[in-house]
Amino acid sequence: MPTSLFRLKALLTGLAIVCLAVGTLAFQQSKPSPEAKERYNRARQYLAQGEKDKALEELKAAIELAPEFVEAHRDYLDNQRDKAQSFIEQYEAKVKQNPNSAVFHYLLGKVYSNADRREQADAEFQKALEIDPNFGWALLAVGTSFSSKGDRAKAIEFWEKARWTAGDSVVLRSILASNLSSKYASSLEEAERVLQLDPNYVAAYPIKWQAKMNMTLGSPQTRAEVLKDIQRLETEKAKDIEVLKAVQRGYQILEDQDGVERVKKTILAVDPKYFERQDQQFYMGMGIDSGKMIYFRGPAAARYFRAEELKDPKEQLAVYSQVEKEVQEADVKHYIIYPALLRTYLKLDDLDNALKIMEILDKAGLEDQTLARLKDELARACLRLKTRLDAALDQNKRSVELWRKSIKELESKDQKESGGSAYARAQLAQSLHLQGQLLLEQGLTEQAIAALNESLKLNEQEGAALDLGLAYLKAGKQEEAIGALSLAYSFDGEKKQEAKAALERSYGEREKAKPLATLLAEAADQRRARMRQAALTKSLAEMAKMEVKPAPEFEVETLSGKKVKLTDLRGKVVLLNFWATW
Amino acid sequence: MEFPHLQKIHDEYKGKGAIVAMISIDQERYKVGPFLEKNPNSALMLLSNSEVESAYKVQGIPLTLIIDQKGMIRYRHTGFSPGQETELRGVIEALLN
Repeated sequence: MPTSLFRLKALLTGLAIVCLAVGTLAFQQSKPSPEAKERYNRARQYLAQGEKDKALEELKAAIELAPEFVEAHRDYLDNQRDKAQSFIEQYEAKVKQNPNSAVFHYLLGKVYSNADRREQADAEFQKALEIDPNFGWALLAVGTSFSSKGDRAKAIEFWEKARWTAGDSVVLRSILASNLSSKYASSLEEAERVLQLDPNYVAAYPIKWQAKMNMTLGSPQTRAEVLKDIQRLETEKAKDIEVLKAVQRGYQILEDQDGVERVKKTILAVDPKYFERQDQQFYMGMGIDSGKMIYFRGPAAARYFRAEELKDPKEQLAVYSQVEKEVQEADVKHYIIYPALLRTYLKLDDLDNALKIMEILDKAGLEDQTLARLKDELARACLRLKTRLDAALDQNKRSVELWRKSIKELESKDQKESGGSAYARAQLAQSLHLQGQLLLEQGLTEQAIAALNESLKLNEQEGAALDLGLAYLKAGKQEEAIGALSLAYSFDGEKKQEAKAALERSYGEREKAKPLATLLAEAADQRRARMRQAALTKSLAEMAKMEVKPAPEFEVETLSGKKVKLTDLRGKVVLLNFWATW
Repeated sequence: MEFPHLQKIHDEYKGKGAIVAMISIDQERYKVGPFLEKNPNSALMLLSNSEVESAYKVQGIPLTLIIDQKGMIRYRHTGFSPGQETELRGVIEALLN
């Protein structure tokens, strides 16, 4: 699978910034004493300031004062995820002492979940619900478990139910509001409820704004309302970090970059270390060709991620070079940082340094397809600059080898999912096209013709057909040239005019026997017929392999709010494509 | 984004009994309108909800399916590969014949 074109949804949600918020709370099970609540609130403040040790002390004290204080337990556990294993015994003992407490079963589930013991966690959440079917936290947890297994509908069912039993816990309601973002009406109601219960729980504002925007698809009126809300908060409480965070998120929702930048400066003025602490929690994941995930975490990852947005390659280079010095993990270096450095050098036309990076990558043991793509990018840059063509040809020859090897392996594995070796074949065709161009540039016409012919056999592309035609002309092979050029023309693509011009130059006397226009029309017809036949044969084979299942019914909306059901489209062949703007 | 070829398929087959329906899974639905203003598309543009995502087990995008005239799924592929357009056309042609 090509890395850059395939994205996992979970990754993007993983990048969402975790919101911490200071707020008072009330709790429905056994209400914690005012003293316990005070200590808990102090802990939240410490957490917001990055004072984790002090926060943990306060949380411990709050738990001692109120043993069933769920919010305090949650923060206590979630801020020590790395030590999740060590809490198991302790919370198992709590359950033994209080076997009929939904709270402790839930908390044990939370501990198991933090320790990645999913099944045990689910069992405890279920027990909590058996004891108290209306226990909001357990409903939340069961929903989250369904969500992580990909069953969003079931997840939402549980979260919706949790809304009715959440009582006056603003933390729970705020999480529900955020989780239910795709159910914007529920999300809006919950966020507004939180703000009613506690106007200082400002983390609920962005959830409310986003829900409103989603509901009206960002109508001008909603935008104006949201902006008014944001500006009111910004002026009323300009010194409160939690408020500023909400305000910044608000400007992000409105896509007001000036607003985002302005608030960022204000945040830095109030708390210079704020973003550094945020970066500690940052992580990103990248799926590589084999499907393995590479995770890149911490401040260096955050800086790398932001540098991707920079417009000036020189600035990017500075960031990537610095990050390279800081990072230790080999996979992150080899799959993320060096490729970024290589591409940046290519943007800067700095081939010497790009070649140096390639030397490192050659020894890195990268997956074949990844390495092959990088080598071709390098070779293509050399061709564009018409320098270091020897080096370019070396790189490209290696990439051709890698693609050949990859195809062999994929074919022998008898890939079940369609497209595996087809992708590698298409890539090999591109590599061979590049090889042809490089050889032509070096004056090695015969070799170029061989590479271009092989490329076209693997995958008919107009660029390769045009270059082959030009190569034949150079070699004085008129008939072959006319064949390749009319093929290039028949694509009806961007090379059409170039192909036609070359044909007009070389067609000459042949015009009498058969006018060029007729030849071109025939070429276009032939190509269409050939493509159709090839596609049919291949697709019939693919379809024969596939198990035929009924398509689940659905009802969705158009942008203008019109409802569309799958059954409305019955009788038609429907190509259904799930996509996203990001 | 694999707009251009799906757009072509839609324009070419809409009179012949096949259409392209694109479902945006954006959580921020309000971004879809402005995006489509910049990148106009003649296919049927729809907004996702959690029910349809669950029912079709959408784990990664782009996810492409082809459903025949009787409502049966005949093709399913996650991700994008260069040869896919030919494959999609082939399945559609086979179903229309």
